[in-house]
Amino acid sequence: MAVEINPSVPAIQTYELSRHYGAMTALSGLSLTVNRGDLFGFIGSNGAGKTTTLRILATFLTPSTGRAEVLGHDVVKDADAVRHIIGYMPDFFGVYKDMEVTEYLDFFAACYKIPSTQRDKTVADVLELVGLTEKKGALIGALSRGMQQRLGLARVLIHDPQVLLLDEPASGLDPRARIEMMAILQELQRLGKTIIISSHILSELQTLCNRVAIIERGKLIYAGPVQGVRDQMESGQIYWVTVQGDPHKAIELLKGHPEVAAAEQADGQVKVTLASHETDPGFLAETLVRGGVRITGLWENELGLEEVFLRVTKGETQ
Amino acid sequence: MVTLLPIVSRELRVASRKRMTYWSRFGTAIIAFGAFIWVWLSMARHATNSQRGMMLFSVISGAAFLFALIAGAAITADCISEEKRDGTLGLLFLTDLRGYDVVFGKLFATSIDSFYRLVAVFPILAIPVMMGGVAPEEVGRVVLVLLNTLFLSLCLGIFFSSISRDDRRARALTGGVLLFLTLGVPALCAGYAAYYELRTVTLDLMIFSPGFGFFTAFTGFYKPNHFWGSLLFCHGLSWASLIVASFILPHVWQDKAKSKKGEKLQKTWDVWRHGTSEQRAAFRSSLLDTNAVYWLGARDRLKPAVIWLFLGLAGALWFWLFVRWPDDMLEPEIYVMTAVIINTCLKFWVASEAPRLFGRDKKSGALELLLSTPMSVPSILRGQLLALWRHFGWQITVVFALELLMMTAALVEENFDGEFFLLWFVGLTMFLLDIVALAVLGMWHGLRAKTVNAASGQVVARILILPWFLFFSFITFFELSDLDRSLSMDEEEAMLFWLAIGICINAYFTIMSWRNLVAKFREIATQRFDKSAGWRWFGWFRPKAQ
Repeated sequence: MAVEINPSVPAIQTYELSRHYGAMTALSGLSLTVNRGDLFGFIGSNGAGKTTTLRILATFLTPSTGRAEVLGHDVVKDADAVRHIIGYMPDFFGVYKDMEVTEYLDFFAACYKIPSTQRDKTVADVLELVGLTEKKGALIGALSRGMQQRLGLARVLIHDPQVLLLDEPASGLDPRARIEMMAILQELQRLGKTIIISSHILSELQTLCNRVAIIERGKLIYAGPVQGVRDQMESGQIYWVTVQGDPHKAIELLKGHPEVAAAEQADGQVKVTLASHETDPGFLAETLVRGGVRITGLWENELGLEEVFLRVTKGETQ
Repeated sequence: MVTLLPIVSRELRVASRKRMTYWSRFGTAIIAFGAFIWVWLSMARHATNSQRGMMLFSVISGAAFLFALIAGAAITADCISEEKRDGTLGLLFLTDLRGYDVVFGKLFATSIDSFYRLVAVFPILAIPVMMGGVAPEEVGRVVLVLLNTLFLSLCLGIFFSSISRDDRRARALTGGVLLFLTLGVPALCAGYAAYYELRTVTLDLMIFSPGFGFFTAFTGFYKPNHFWGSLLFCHGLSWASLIVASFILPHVWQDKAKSKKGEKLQKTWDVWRHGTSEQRAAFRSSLLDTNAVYWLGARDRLKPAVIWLFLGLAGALWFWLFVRWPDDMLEPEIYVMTAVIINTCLKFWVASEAPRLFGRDKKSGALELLLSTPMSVPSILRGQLLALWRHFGWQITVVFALELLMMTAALVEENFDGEFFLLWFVGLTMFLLDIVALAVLGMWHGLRAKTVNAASGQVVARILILPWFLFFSFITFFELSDLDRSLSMDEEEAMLFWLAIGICINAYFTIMSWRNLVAKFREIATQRFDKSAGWRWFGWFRPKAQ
């Protein structure tokens, strides 16, 4: 079945999406846009509503109110079309342990109605993409967790979907397997896939994703570029300076400058907060050198995604 | 203070807080009392009080004995093996718990309910003493046998659960050993006597059978040596099962690296089950093109082979009996009995297989992955039906054809008696209809129930037990209400009436299940499990998702 796709619509769009389980509200008025080609990080505490959102997008759940579209297709009214264009990887394996790797992928290829003449090649291609070619004859039960996760990714890719919904794809993986998984995701983005990835490993999302959304208790707190949320956090620019000798002289010099909002000692270094984002930080070095202070280091403070997450959320779970 | 058997004390506390513990006991007493009233009323016309008392005592104690026997396979046989499969048994042994703590804990945790249910029947068993015909000591002996049999059944279930990982294996072993002890031992003794043309059956050897113990508890057959011997053997076997399980368990919970021999055996087994890589690929290719779920359900090629093996063994046994007693085996009644046994086995087989695919895959999450593909629900259902046909279709066709032959032979023997023809017609019709209903309802319950075995039980109760219950209820009602005998049914009418009940029930459950499967498959398959599914009273006729 060929699914018609309007080239002008975003990959994913939700409008006031809500989902209730009895008295509990898992998702409350979520409006979100994911552009084509985005590697979009979905961040939130346990029970924040990430999995509920992904399951709605994957057509498993119907929203209580609001609606969601994947490449312009409504996930409720046009669920069949949506299933053709998404690849959904849940937060559990759901594998058949007594199947061989090739059998497993062949089975899902048949589920996606890939003709038998093309299935062998398709299976070989996705196995190569996820680096499992050598394991094609192995029983799934004998694979390591990382390998099973890669196999899950291979399953998701078997029908060449345009949008990937990945729920905690790196959970429980060792560092090497995680790094390899992230590399595969970057390669997929390079191939033009739109990827939504929910994860708790924020340091990796920070380098991997071009856009993120942070949700808490079912409500969207932030959606946009990673840098954008940092900018929102910082009322002014923060710089760190290390000097040779007594830092107090440097602090006194900087405090007297009109562009500096605050200067203080922290961890043996000087933390300088500029009065405005627009200020050129070049004056810092100039002021200190003119005042006879020898500078050994000067760098801009950068909030990590983990710090941003902790600041914008209250740690409330449901 | 150190608590002796900490899991046992915890489970007793948990059970004491459960409403179900009390309601199940109350419910069983009500059912037993209902059965009592039913039998009493149905015999009101043509029996004295003491005859009715004896009949009531026999019927209710017989049903209780059957319950006690089944309890092991149904309740305890998967309690430890399930923990092995889920990998949770090891967590218990990482604590200070010993093997006996776990074994006794599991025994108490799973059997309190069945124990209370059985005990709830005992007051009803004592009523016939007041009606006459049953002696108080007879009631005492029967109660003792019932408790002992329940204990044996539960302990054997625990033992086989401790040495198994697969639920069906554990249940089959428990049920098989209990069946062998109860019926097999007396049959062997009787066969031995018949084979060597002895004048009497060696009763001393029958003490190994709990069935014989139950039989000798009744005053007419009571002999102290036999009764106490059987009781002692069963009790000893129960404790032996528990003790051996306690010793085994701490050594079997860890995943052990397979030896080279073990790996070779496993590979051979895998090749037997699924074929070589080339055979697998060829088989997969042909079935996947028809329907992906068809291949998923049918890829274990041993399943149909095991049914053929069963039918082959049954045929070989029949042939051996025919060679030994040629005249007896060609009696029309033997044909009927053979057909009833084979058909019942096949029906139970279908009931255990039909819920398996959906139930297992829902639990593992694989069904959700399948539903994320564009495969439509009717296509998934069609695939599962095709797989079931591949497992059972030809075997059922062959059995049906053989039974048609047996019917013809029996009719020739009976000079084409109309009543006899009707008996075969009703039996064969219901055989086919039951198979269809079991398959469809099994799929639905596999999707809804917490475990595959619970689903099988629910399906059997609805398709195989409910018609008989309704039939006997109506017959009793007719007997009681038709005082002037104007509405009395002859045997042919009774058979047609039973057929009508069977058709109605099967049609209802088949249509409702199919409708629900088509409409609610996605909704139910993506829930963890439906709490409302189970042995409910009020939801019996309403197989709907909630």
